[in-house]
Amino acid sequence: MATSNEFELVDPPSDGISSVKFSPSDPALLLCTSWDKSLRLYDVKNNSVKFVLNSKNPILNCCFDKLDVNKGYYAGVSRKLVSVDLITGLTTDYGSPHTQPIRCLESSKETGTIFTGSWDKSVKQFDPRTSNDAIGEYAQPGKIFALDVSHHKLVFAMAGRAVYIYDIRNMKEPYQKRESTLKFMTRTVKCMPNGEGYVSSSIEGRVAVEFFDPSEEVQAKKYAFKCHRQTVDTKEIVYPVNAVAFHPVHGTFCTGGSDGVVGIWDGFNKKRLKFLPAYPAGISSLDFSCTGDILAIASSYTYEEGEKDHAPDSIFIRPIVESEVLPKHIKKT
Amino acid sequence: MEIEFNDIERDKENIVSLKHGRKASSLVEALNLTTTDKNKIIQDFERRIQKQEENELETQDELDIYLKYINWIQQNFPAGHKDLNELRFKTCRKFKANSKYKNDLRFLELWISVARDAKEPIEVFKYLSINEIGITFSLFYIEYASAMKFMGKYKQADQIFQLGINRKALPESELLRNYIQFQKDLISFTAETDLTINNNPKPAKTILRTIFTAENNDNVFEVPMYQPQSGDQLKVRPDSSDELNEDENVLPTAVTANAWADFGTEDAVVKKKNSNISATFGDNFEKNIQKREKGPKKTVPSITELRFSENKLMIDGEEYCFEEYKLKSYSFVPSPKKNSSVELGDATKQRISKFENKLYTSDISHSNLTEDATLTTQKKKFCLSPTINTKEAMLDVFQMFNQPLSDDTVFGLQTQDEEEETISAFVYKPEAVQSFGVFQDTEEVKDDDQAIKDFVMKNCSSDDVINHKSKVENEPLDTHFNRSNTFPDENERDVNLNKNKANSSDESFNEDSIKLYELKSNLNALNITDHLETHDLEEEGDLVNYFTPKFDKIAKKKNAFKNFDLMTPITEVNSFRENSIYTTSLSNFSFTGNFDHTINSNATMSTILSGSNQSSNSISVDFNLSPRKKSSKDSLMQNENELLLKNNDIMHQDELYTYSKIADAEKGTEKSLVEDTKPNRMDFGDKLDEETIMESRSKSNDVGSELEVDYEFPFILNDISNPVNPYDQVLINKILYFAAQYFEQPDGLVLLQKTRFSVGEIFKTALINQEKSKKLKSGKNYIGEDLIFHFPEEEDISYKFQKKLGEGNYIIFSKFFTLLGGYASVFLVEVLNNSDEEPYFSQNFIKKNELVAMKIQSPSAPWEYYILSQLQNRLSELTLKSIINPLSCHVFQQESVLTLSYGKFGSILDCINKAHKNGFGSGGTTSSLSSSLDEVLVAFFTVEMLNVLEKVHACGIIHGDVKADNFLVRLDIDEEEIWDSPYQKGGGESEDADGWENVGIELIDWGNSIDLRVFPESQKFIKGAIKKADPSIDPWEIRNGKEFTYEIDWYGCASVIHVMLFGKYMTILEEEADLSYYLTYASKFKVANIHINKIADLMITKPHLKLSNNLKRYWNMELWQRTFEILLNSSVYNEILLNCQENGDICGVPEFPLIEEIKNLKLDLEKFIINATKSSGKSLRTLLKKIKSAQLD
Repeated sequence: MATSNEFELVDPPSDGISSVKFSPSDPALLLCTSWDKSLRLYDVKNNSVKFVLNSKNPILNCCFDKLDVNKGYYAGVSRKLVSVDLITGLTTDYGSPHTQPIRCLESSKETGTIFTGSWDKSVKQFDPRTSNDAIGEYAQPGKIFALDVSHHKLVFAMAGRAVYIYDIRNMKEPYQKRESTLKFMTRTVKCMPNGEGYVSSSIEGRVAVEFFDPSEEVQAKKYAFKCHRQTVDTKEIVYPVNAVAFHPVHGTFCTGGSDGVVGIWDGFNKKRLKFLPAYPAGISSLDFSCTGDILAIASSYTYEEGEKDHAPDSIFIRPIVESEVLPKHIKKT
Repeated sequence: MEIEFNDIERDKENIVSLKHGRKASSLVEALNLTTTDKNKIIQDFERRIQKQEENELETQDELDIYLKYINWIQQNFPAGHKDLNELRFKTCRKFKANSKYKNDLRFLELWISVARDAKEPIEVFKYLSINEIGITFSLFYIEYASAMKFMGKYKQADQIFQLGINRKALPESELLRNYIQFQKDLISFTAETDLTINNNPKPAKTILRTIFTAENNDNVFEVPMYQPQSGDQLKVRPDSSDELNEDENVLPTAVTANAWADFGTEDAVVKKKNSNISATFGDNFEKNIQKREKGPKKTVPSITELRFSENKLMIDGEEYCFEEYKLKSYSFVPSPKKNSSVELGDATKQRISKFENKLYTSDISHSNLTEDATLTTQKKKFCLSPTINTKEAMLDVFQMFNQPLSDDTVFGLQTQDEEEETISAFVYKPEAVQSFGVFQDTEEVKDDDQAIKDFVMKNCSSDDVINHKSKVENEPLDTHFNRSNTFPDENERDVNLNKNKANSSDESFNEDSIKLYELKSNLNALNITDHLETHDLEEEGDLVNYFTPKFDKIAKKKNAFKNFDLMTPITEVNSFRENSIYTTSLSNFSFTGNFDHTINSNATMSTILSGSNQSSNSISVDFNLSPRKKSSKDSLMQNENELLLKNNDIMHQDELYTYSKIADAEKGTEKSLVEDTKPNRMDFGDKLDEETIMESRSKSNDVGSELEVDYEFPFILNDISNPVNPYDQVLINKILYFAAQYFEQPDGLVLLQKTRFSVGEIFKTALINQEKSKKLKSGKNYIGEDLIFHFPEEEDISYKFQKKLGEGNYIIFSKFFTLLGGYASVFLVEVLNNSDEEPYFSQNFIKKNELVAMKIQSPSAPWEYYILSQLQNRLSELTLKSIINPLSCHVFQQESVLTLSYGKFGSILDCINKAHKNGFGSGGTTSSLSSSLDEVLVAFFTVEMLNVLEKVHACGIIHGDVKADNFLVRLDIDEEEIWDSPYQKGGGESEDADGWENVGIELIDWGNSIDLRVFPESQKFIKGAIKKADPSIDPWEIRNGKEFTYEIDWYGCASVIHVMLFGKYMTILEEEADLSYYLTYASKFKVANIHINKIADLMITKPHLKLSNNLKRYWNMELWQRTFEILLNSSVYNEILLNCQENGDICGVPEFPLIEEIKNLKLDLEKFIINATKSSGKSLRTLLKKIKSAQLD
């Protein structure tokens, strides 16, 4: 088995890693947020930490500004959006804090705005260039658990298995309101790079691939599959799927579960491409670099079973061999 | 002899009653025997049993002595004997699998006596039923029904009786009598109004586990629950509500039951359908989606365990995600105190003072460390190495939620971890942390508390949260509590801590030592003493840890320290993974060999999983069930195909392997593959870094290709003798064991080694039915069931037996299996249905109504599947077309079932047999060689064979059994597809392959294969000389017990070509030969260009082989001569070439240099085909189509 030149990043956070995100322009820059209240910027090529930013509260998510390469954002238990200059490390707080911790955020390439989703059942939109306060606040029926934005579509998943899709050009009302096809709580949603749809994962070892186009024929393509399950004699152990990341070029995606396994899938041909050998702790976050040749794997216990002993939290950087992520062509029989 | 009751009277209370009563005389005797006498007799029995074990005593009936022993003990220890139970178990255990005793009434009686005393007698009976012990006796059914009766399961008791009657258990009359009595009882008892609730006894360790785990566990017998006596008064028990569960098969069959199903063990977890998760939320919610996608229909196994705390996610109708749960546990809600003052126990106070005096310098104002400080001790550790009992912690949290408000100060406590933390701090190197800038959050401290407090408040009812206000709310925090401290200070502090700690000699840093708490927030620790509770050391207090900066740093350091451990990226990751207790994957295969590795041999998966072999592993080690990577292209080989005519630069994969090693050597890095010093050490293959890859890439002519470099076979067995017998079961098991360690388990591999399931048995029945149906000449069909079955745990795929493929070509009786008394046979099976969803998107998804071949081997032989999976991994898709596709492999206790795709066009041997009749023979109608193949056809198949063998060798596998019946013919010609071209070389790799990639051969039967990658480079193999060696099939090396590697495959290839050409099996002439002889041949047949530099002194030990038959003159003599010369004498030519050095250095010379010549041969054969089909008007296509129609008839 080619184990490739995978390595662990130095100085990982000391508590759960909530997210790892690669820069949209520089394949070496990786942001990492953690429950140890720090935001770290890594240079993965040199395996070094560029800086560590300490906050008052656990940080739950981060993203890069898609238009300004030197800017990043993070948010978490402090309930407000914070932008950080990646060169100087200086932070700026945004106004209009949520009333509950912000769980997820993502920036849009199309509009340059940032969307934040929070447990206070609302989504807020910030425009870094216009004002410090939110430019929009959108109440939702449930707590936001996961969010992603791509190609003018904002998708987020809430408690109660609802999934709402907005067209960010018209935030007045949802573009679509859906109920998740997965029967258990949604863990994460991720949009496909081609803008056709999104992938959602649940805590019950299942991933659903869905499409935006409401027409019958496109909707017929949607499906769900089981993953991150292990059979031990008569028992089947089901793990939450915590992370999904799309390869920017090939459109294949990988999933990470609490079983510590990363699976790489070809969603269109419905094939599994590869399973990476299990990491020491469950996978809490995954991201591909902008060039698609590096995969960051955050191996960190996600607290799904409460307090318990677990392996130390670490980030693995895996150079990707093209064949691992190339879509499968259906074999001729 | 008259026995007086007086003799017994004295002991009457101590006499255990036996069902069949006691012989009075024996009883008296027993009571009068002295202890020493008894001991002597016991010893005598033991000795006899031991002798029998060692086969010294010739006994026909081994059970006899055991029974006698048991009986003697029962008779002579009227009060019972402590070892009796163990003895009974031992006996049951020993003979449980012995078919001789299946129908032995005494054995059955023993079992019944055991069942009687068991807590769950029904399970015992089920076991007996599955294993068919005693089921021919009425006694079995009577007792079983009794047990059911006792449990109130009347329906089932009835069923049991009926079953016994149907089966004509003996004695019939006895059974009938009991049945009638049972029915009478039923009738009369239903009239009674006495209803007793039947509470099933709580299952503890059951008797079966006791028996089979050889535990001497007497607990099972504490309360004899079941003492059925005929004529017992039965209280009427209403049928238990779950009387006829699906699980509760009265007489489970092997197919539906798992022989090792849980008998009520603690570990069984039942899947709960968590339907409350889908909460509705408001009326605005519109169900605006299309028809809900049906989830995969695959039936889940009976037990599903969800690895998340379900009960935490749904509280009071509200859903919480993991992060919320985590946050909640980080925040704290203190429990209210009854009184407002705090008392510190004296002991605590003492410890506190000791502690503070030694550890803290005066600089640090630890106001919390004065005497008045409240220090609570907790055993709870935080986060990184928590020992918090989850349940308890949560209980605390919820308890807090329910407490009434009394105080209003918010405060936090923090634990400091024990020694580990301080130790890590001690060795902590501050510099490393300071290497990067630390930026400070400019926010005020106040807000974070608020944030968390708010969170907690919002999520608990406001009544429950205690807000403590302190007197000194606004006092500035001590700097060391200030989160915005930069690291250096804290380092210092902690280093100080440790210095001081080091000084403290016998400080109480044992388990019970005090942990230091720092009090956070706006309070000066001193001043909140009023509001804190004391806790004893042992108590796990109500206080949950609060997230404070101090803790952070310790935690950070802890991790930082860990990093220093695992610094070196590349190698460390591997070893971390390898050594880590978190990632060890375990052997699937019970490894029964004598092996020095530290893992227990004979450990099966579940025993290993239960943690007996792990070192301090509290985390469940999950088994990776992931398929092997199906390599998209074995690009190297792909290149080959594309660039057939300019293949000089493409290297054999093994060549590349050597090359890389040399490249490394050139670079000066010493990476030796083979570790000679340490035996049994696993080695990793060379790791290639980018440079080497780039170098190899540049060697390839094709710019766009991605070289797939797959050198890193993760383990190599070092301690193997050279040469070694590759078919040694011990060795094979060893390889499989390590493969399971280092590879992901392939998807199709299903390991149920504890399950006694035999497809072979099913097929046996099916064959019998088939025979029967043939005999019915009356035209009626035999009304037997279609033999439909499915594998255990796989209810959604069912198979239907079709026929045995065994006639003629497909029966394989591997030599080594016959030694073990095993067999292997192949059957044709139709896949009846399968769920439409592909549950795992497996590569080898079996479609409905597809035909598959099932190869059943007993004992289990997963080796073939291992090799096939490796091939799937190592070769390109195109090459894999020429190799049989493994679909799944089920491994059971006694047999393994390998499911393969079915080649409906038969084998090459079949072709040859049909050739003449169907017009693709050679020589036309008058030829005496009527059953050989047309020369062009032979050339075609030869090219295919040479190609697949070359590729297979390139990835390090030797097939080991190359013969004509092991090549299936591929004729997947789609009639509609364009298949016009006469012939496309390269087997379809080029774009205008035009369908030629669909025709060819498929190599099957890999049971004799060898995986070279697990061995060191120079490994050779050897098989003991076989008795009836057949030169037509068995290579020279095998016949003569000489060592070999690849050459045996080439020899086999030659034999296939021969049989195709001549229609007869090959016969060989051996001639003595020396070097010059070979050289002459080499040039005569244009075998190879040999530079005669340094080979003058090469000793040739093998005779030169050639065909005894002469080639037909109208054949392409040159080509075939060359073919046979190379293939028959490959090892010698190889050796010659290996010793042929240019300029004295061996750079670039691969392991098997002859492969170049074989490649050239292949090319020339292809040229021949092209020419033949162009000029002579012969159409290869037509010939192949003829074969297809012939085979399909």
